[in-house]
Amino acid sequence: MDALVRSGKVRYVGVSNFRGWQLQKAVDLCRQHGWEPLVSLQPLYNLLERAAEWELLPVCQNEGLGVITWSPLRSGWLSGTFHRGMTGPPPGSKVTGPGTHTWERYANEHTWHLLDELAAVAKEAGRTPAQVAVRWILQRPGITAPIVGARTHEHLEDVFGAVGWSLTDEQMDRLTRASEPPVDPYPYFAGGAAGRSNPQATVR
Amino acid sequence: MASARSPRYGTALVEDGARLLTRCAFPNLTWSALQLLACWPVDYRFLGATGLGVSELCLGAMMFGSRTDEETSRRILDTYTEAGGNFIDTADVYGDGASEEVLGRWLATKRRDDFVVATKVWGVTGPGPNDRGLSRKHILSAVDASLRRLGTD
Repeated sequence: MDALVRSGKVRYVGVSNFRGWQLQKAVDLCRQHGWEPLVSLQPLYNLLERAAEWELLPVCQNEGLGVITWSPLRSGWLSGTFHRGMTGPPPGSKVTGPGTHTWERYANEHTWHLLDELAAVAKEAGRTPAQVAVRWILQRPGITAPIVGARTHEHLEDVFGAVGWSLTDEQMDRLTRASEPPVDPYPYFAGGAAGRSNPQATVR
Repeated sequence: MASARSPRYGTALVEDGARLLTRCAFPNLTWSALQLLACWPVDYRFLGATGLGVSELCLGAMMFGSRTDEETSRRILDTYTEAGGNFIDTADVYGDGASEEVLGRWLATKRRDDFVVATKVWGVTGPGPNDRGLSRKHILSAVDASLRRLGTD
């Protein structure tokens, strides 16, 4: 990758979907060898998937990597079309297709509670749930830019409503609390939510 | 870390104003695009430590050339960039290369230097054992193939 940058074919090198130890190791190897540093990480990160906070985001913050998150609406789960009481995904939804964004994975009380709160904040802010879900990512620490995947022109116009305004600290807190993972697996339960939101606590 | 967030340009509003005036000088720009610009001023952030300024929304091109036809893809790209977007994400495997090709044909009508394009290598691009993964061989071939599709080799 170093040679590719020096040849001019590639301007910058980033990675996607690494695990925490892989990312730190890659960053360290580049530094030890004087290679072109990694400049960015592309992780899955949204109100329904926050595990990037355990290892990946602290590495990025400590090492100065940009964070470009994918699937901000989790294939429609956070777009406002899903809500408590549904018995299956709407027809034509990506949720019916292949992938990890399945009905079985998310059709549970944790999700319904989160979607209730998302709808409430959206109503209060005068925005769509999709705009609020993207806005939440934009205001989280260490995030550079969510990737907004527009399939139609209307999707794009909706998502542009996520910029040019801010959620209040109180609204951010409500969404952050409602989207806390129900169970933190070891070793992440040691610090809990406080540990995850405190990247300075990581080992230098 | 001194700051938890990526630094933002302090002059973003001034830049947006300047861009608005610039766009007004071009009669081919649609009114809806101007409205987009006025209502949703996209801000810019630095990408990590690169000094590169990228718009705070990155446009995902995964569906271009597959679920989204080329004409719609181009309209999406036009609207996105007219609102200030400059950051586009694709991959060699999206639409079996179609995403990069659609993007490349659109980029050919623009100033390439105005955009930050991210693409990827790793996924399966052919039946052979070396048409995937992160070997030096596949990475070098895949980079050349991506640059060709993107029209920037």
